[in-house]
Amino acid sequence: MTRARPSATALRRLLTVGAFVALAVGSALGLWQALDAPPGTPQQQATTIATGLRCPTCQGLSVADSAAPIANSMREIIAEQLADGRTPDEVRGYFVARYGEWILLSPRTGGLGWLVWFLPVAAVLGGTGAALLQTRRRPTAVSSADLDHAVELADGYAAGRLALPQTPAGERLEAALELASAIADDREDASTGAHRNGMIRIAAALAAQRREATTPVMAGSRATAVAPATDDRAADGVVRRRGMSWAGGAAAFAAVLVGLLAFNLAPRGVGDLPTGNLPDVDSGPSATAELDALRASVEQDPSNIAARLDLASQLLQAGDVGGAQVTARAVLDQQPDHPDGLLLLGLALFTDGSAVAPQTLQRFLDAAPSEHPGIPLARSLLDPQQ
Amino acid sequence: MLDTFGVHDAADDDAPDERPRWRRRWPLLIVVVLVALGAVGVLGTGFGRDPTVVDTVLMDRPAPPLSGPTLEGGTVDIAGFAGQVVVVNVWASWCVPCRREHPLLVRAAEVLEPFGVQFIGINTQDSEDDARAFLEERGAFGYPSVLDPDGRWAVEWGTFGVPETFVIDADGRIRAKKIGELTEGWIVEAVGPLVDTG
Repeated sequence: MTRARPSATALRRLLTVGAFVALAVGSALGLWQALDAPPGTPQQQATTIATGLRCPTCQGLSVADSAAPIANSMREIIAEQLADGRTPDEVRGYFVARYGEWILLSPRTGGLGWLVWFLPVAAVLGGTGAALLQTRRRPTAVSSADLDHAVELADGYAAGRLALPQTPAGERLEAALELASAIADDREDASTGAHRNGMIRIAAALAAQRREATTPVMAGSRATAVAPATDDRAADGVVRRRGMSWAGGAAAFAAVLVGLLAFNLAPRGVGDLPTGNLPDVDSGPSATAELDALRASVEQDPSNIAARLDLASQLLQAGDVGGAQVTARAVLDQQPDHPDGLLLLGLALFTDGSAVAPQTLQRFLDAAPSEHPGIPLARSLLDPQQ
Repeated sequence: MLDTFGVHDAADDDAPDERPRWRRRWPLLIVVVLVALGAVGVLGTGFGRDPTVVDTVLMDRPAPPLSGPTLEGGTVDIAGFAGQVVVVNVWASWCVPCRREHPLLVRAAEVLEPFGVQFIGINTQDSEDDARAFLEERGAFGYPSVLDPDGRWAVEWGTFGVPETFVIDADGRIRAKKIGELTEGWIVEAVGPLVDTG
């Protein structure tokens, strides 16, 4: 209630504006720094490019972070192309031409990618504009009736006949009244224009207070500001109705999302992975069909060792360890030292936890030609330390 | 003076406040509805999409170059088969689906040879010895495979893994691409329309 109050408001306003200016200048400087960053060594450049590229065979890894062979060769290609004098954008373009924009981890500032960069800026600008409009609109609510009321209130305040509610609008009104009385006290400055300005401030504060559905009421010598019960209920109703419309909107939006999800997941059976609209992977039936075909060819020509080996291999992969053993033994009945037969039997026995598995695998190692691709596997099974 | 502070007559001033809230807020309502529709649109298409499926950008574009020493000991250049339909298969000895599709590739190359279809392999991220052992075990392809130990050609062709198969028409444009194990049906559908089988 001192005269320092208006200057405190001014100081707060200055601080707010200062903070915004500092923020804007800081962001601009940061952006400028980022855009104008020195190119760095070719190695740094290569790392920057690799960090921005998606590894084709990984899930959510950049080329820089991935140990996949293809990421390795992509890093080599990046380094080579930079050494050839290509710009980072040209190197990125090389990969985009082969893999599409998908390969870029951050969208480009062009086409649809431009939208992703622009939307947040648009949202900030739109929000600032809306906020400015909202604050600008307030003074228009001052009416001449309010001005008359303001003069009345100022007189009441000067005479000490007014108590004001402890609401933001009430405090604002009190600040305005105090300012007006300060102007009136200062005889030299008490011109008509200054007085009118003070009244307009009070009227604006009054209008703001009315928006809070609270009205100061003067009653005889003891003036009070009370909110009529009816207005209170009305304000309450508005708030509740607004809350309900937001809740309704949110509920409708959620319902649409759930509907979309259900619609897209519906074609899948129970237990299926929700992997989008991938064509069905029918490995099950086709694997069975393959097994049946192999069995048929084995039955047709019992001397067909290649078909028997294929069958044993397929059975082993399908988890039919017993079937794989029987089939592999049938091969060994015809050719006791057939390396593939020994390997498959050894693997099947090993999977089964059989004690004779090492023996069979050793027989395979003895019989197999030195370039047989199964040798490393058999060795590692025989000697896990290796 | 009064106007700069936005003071109006009471009649002017009270009029907007008389309107129901929804009528004063209709611009906001339109924005909310538009944003919601946009979100529904984006999510509606997004839910129906598999994020792991990426269309190749090379489709209907001129095929990348492919040349170099082969597993069989010679050299090959795809440019030498201009005017012919070419099938390019990316494979490796360590890749299980490659093992399974091997007989189909051998047979397809044999059957389609009279129609002028040339097959070329890219043996990627593999050691020459492993690849030879694979061919000895499973049988030779009957067509050359370009050596690609460090995966350069695989990247040049925009591949994601092995096996991948491209079909290039007589004009040198990529007309079909298959990621994963080949089927006979796919070969027939992809190559059939490009060759004169009459």
